Amino acid sequence: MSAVSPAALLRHREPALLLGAVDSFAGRTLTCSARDARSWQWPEMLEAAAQAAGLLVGLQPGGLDNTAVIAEYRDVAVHAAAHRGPLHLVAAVERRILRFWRCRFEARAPDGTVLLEGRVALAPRTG
Amino acid sequence: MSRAAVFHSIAVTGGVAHACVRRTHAERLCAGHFPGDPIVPGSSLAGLMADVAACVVAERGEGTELLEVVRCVFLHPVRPDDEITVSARVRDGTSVDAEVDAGGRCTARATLRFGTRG
Repeated sequence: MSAVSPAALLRHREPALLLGAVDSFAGRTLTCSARDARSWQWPEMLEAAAQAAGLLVGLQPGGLDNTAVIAEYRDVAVHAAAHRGPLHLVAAVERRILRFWRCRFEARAPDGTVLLEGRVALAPRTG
Repeated sequence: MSRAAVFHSIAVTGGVAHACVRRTHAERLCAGHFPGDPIVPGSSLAGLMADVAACVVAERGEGTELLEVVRCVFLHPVRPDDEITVSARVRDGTSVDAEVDAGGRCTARATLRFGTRG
């Protein structure tokens, strides 16, 4: 899946840009791999998942541009506080309410183990 | 990273914790986020709140593993040169309410659940 480039679409730059390649994009769902296989703490996994959600929302018809902000995290289950190695992210649009986009996300180990999952709401930046 | 590298003070008294974030740490969190427009990532704010909340939970002798970010709301952007303080207090059982204040106002709030991961 080479048409979608996180580096081209997100405002994040190194070292903040955590996404590498987009593995699949199917309208309202997106999977991608983190840029580095390294040691992850849960806030970093959460950030990677949020970036995947932001990328996905930016690709939606009428979606948000790359100045969008995180309005809320909800129901984030931390199954593993830390992980070492590659990280895979899954994001899916759950619903849109006015200008807010809510997505579900998962951060997974290469074997599919869900390390962290939850919901994120993105909104356009104001001010 | 040690708490001493993140916070230049943490005080826990009677189930309430207050901590001040080191500016150097806030600046580190903003590297690449974003060039010319540094904003502390929301995920990092959630992490800071969880760190301080864990201090409160530990004081009570409860399990200090973060199990869930029940809810975390971001109200205003946080800049690395803001004076950033984090506070946390027990809500009920092993749930903790936490807050980030920066630039003299509340910028984020969270409810966090702790325990022991099976």
